Amino acid sequence: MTTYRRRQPAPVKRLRGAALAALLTFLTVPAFASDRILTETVTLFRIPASWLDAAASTDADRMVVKFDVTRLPVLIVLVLFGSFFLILQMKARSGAHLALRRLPGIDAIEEAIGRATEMGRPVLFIPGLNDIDDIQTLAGVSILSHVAYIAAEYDTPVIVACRRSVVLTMCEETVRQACLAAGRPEVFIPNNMRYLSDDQFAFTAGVNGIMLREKPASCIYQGCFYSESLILAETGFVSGAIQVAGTANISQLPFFVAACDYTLIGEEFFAASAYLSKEPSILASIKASDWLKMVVLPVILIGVLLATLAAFEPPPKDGSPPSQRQRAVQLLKEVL
Amino acid sequence: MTVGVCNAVRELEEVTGRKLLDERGRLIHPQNGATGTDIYVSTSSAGGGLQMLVMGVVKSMTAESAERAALGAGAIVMDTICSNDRRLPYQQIARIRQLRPDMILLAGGVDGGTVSHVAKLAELVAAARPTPRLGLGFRLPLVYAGNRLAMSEVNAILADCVDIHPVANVRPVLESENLGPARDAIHDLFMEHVMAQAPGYDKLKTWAHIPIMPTPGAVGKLVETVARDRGISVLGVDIGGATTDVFSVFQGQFNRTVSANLGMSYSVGNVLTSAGFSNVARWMTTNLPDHDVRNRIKNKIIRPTTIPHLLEDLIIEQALAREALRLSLEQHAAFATSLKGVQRRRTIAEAFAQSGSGETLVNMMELDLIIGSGGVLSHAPRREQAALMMIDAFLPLGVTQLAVDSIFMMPHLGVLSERAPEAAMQVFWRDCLVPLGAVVAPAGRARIGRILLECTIRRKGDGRPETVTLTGGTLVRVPLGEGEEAEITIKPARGVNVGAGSGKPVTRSVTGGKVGMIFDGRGRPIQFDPDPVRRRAKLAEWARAIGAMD
Repeated sequence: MTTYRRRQPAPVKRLRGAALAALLTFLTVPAFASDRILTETVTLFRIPASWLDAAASTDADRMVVKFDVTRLPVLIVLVLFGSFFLILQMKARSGAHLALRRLPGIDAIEEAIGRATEMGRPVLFIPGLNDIDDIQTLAGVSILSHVAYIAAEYDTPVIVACRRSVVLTMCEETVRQACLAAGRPEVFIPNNMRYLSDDQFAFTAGVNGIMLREKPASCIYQGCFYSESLILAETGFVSGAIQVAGTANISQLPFFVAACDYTLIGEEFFAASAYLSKEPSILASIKASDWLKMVVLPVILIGVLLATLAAFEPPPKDGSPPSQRQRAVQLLKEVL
Repeated sequence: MTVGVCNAVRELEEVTGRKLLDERGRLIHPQNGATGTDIYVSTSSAGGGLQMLVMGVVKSMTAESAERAALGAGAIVMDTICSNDRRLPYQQIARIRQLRPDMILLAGGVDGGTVSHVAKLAELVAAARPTPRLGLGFRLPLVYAGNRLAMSEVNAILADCVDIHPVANVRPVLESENLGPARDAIHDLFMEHVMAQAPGYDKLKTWAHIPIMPTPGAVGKLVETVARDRGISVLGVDIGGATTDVFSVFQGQFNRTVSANLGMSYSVGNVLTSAGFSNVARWMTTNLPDHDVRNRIKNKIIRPTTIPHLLEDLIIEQALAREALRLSLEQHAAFATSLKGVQRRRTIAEAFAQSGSGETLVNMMELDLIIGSGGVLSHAPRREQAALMMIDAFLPLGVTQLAVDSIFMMPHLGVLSERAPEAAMQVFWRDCLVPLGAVVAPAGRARIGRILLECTIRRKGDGRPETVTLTGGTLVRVPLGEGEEAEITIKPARGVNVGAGSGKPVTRSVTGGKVGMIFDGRGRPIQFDPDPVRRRAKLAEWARAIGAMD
């Protein structure tokens, strides 16, 4: 029997690739760039020099492969995360239900589009200010795919305002594909895909102009935003739109929370693609990171407890060896 | 139609000894000493009641508001067609043709909003050219309660195929609903068009001093009046043979739903399918084999109008009733929600707890009164059984009064409340309702044997306080006679909530009834023992505790 696998939308694939690249970078670069590598290492094994160079003749020329002990926690985390991910992915593929908690911000997107439909007005989507190499922009484009699909079903136009030309091209293609997938290619209007300006505040002024002239009933901000966040959200509020924001920029979150109807906070923003796509591998990665947090949190608590205990421990007298308890506390402090 | 009315009035004459009909078989009006009557009111569910098709743009917005208007007017909503119902146009057209409703309610778009979507819905109706269920000579009435700007377009599309009656928009802005004009128009059209097809209706119309209303609409009217009059939250349930109607007023907002496939005779098979056998069987106190239970239910499906003759049949019927009521309330809670698509104003405090819109209005802790109606509740062999069925099905929280409708007088009182609200209320409280008493139930799970609360009861006119202690997993009944009032002070244990918050005391006035006061310590949801023998023993213990069985 032939089985067919659902094709993943291009932004989801890219998002997964980017997330993997970011994870590898995070784990490997600091490990090799550590300035303590020469002092706090253990020898793993030695390669006879003759394996690499036939001219070498003595054992003294053997190449030494060392491991930076200070990066041991990173290795543990990597192994744990990898194991969790594989277990959960296998579970998800075998049909087990991986539940994600409800994200009101994502659920509200359909409501926001419904509002625009009833009011006979468009939906405005902004995929952040950064270029396509930013993971937040990729996450935003992934959400745009969902927004455009629902809007096509409702027969409601979506205006996408971009600050970067490459992002515009990607958004254009995403919306076109979503309209096709919804069975309504005629709903796609190329003129609604708009590049405004590379300049931050010229872009902001352009978006405000769209809000005031075309009065979108719903404004959806998903991506990386800076100081323009409050200007955009306040203008949207004044124009009477339902607003759904999502960003990982912590400094901008209070403005979005105060001025928007719904806000995806930090991790929720990245979890949105898993929440929407229900793709087993993406769901597994979200759940794996949750499991990892459940492991890390007790370790942090124990660390805090030990550090507090150590603060009350009298310092060792000059020359006397540290007690067994002091040594244990010291070791745990090092590891944590 | 008038033949039936005359027969009923003659029976009434025999019971009351009052002459109500003259020699020609007409009602004597006005009253004169021992003859005649001042007001004659009537409701109708002839021909299966008012059957409507509802259309709106977005399912959770204007279509839902239109559905609320139709249900509030006492209609049965056959289907809801909207832009996002995931059906293709040809499927929608086929559905409209197939349904043959009595009336269509078309809504969509806020005032000044979308016109194209409303026009598309109108085109669906035009393409389907629906014919009315009753009467061949008249055009199907269509109530238009949508965007004002789309009226001319709708008129142009539909003028030659339906009879259009424009009224104010049910959703003029997304932030509020305006259901009154659409409901009134449905009532009027029901009288003029639908009821006019019934034989003898013209004659009956001249007898009635208040316009005839659809029966469920009249019940809803009464529930609304009671809630407004007393300033309380009310839940009314009418469990019938084919359908179950649920009426509620929470936060001053009236809602009605019809669970079309949940009933005790024609729909009994569907109750079993929807609830599942294990859910029905969990309420049974007797040890009957599964196949025997299934056979008895199937027998009821074949002969739906039979009533239980054996104790086992009664136990099965009451188990089915619990599940039908539970499912009806679930459906009602999903429909009775706050408005969706509304702009919100948030504060930074809501950063981590952003509640969504469309939250249900049904809050059992806030509920003050449950009214049960329908044969299985009103004619249960013991009133205690009716009380236990309602508690098991609805799981009330805090302090809630229970009552059943004695002889299904509610629809008539609903109509009467239009002309004489005070008289309607007096008859309702004194003759229509059979008060069962009050139930006190803490929220959350209850640990078996743990003390949940202590309640001090002070009966009016009797200074001696009485103390009741409720432990987890038990039911306690305290007699409190019909009409007897008492003030109760509940002191919940730590972590237990009876309405004022965790561990906080509550003082309330309660009125007694046929059962008295019931303290329910079984927890929410009720915990059943997985072992069937122990479960049955526990069910029997609970039933005996309140006198539902010997």
